Amino acid sequence: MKSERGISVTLDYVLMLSIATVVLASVIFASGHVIDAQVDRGVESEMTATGEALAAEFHTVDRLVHAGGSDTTVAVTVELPDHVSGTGYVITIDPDDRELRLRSEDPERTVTVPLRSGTLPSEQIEVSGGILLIEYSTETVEVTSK
Amino acid sequence: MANVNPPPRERAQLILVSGLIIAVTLIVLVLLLNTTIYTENVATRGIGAEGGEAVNAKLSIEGDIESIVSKEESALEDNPGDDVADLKYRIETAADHTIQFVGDRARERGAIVEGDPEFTYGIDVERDDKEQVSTSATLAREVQHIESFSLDLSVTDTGSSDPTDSFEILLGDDWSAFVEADADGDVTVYDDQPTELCTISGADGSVTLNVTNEEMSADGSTVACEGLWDAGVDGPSELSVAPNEDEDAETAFAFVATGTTIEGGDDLDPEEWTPFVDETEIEFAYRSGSMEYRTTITIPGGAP
Repeated sequence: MKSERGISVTLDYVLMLSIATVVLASVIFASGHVIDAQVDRGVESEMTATGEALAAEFHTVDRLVHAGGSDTTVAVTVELPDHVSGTGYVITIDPDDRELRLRSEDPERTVTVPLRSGTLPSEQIEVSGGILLIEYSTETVEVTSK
Repeated sequence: MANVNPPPRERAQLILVSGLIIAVTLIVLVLLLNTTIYTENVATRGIGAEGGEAVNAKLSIEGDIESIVSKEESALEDNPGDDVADLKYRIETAADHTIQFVGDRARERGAIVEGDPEFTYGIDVERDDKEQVSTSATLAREVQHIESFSLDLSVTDTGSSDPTDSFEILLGDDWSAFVEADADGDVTVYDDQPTELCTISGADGSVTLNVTNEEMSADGSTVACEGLWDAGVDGPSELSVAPNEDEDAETAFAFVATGTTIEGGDDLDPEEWTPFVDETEIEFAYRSGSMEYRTTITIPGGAP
């Protein structure tokens, strides 16, 4: 049987695959930007949740201190994630501004969580994520990584 | 009739492209959901619940022991004459049961509660009628603190010029004072050196000596005896009086003394006698896998 088409079968396939490849590459390229933005939002969201969990533990320590006498000692172990969305992060406890600042490495994002506790370290402290130990004794608060 | 179905080759291309679009869409959706689910998981962990349980355990022990003390002290009205040992047994037994109960409830939630109570007891003793004192007489034992102490004394001249031969009041080895009457009935108080502190004339040997307030009175007049009372007691001591063996002395007394193992004396019969709990201190500890909380609970009390 004789074909009446103007192009060969081979060219037809090459064109089809080329177009499909271009379309797919364009979709992936666009998706990449969307995914990056989503990762950024995910990092911020996780750091906010982590910061609020840590702030809640400070509030717990504050409550225990106020419920006790002058010789009260408190030691609370806080289990925070080591990473957020696959990246490490650093927590800054700022008693002057009464806030926690969490800063991730890659992507570089910073979130701030207010601290409502009256029982805070006397100076600014920087710790990495993971297991933290909050200790109170003789009106002094220490935060260390375990 | 024309064939309206697309040729098999073009149908396959459509299916391929559609599949690619669906795969990419699914990947994006998975990424979105994963972040959301993980963030929600981190945010909803049980944070702060243990702090509340520790405070509740502390308040429970504090409130229950305060009620126990109040109830047992009230019960003394129905059982006058109970000594400190009886009160101590009832209170400390009930306190131990309370702490054990709170500890059992905490253990069900994986926590350990410890409480070590220490009670300071007191006795409020009074005798209004004077009783003759012919030999050394103990008023109280194991005294760690005296809140108020006064004596109604009648002393006579011993004929000695040495004040240490006169009527003596002692609190262990920590403190003593001498009360001497001369031939005219004037009464003089000396410290343990003996240094004269105060004299009252015209007393005819009968005075009211308020030791803790450092004053002596008789027949409506009062003199200050500064330096008479040294409030510090180094350790559990015995409160006693000792007349001169040649002296005829009579005394009535009133005092409030406290100590962790205080006992009454059995030499002079008190007319009124009331044991009470002066103070309660509880060494409280709450421990769990993620928290350790220690504090001292202080429950004030006092003489009724």
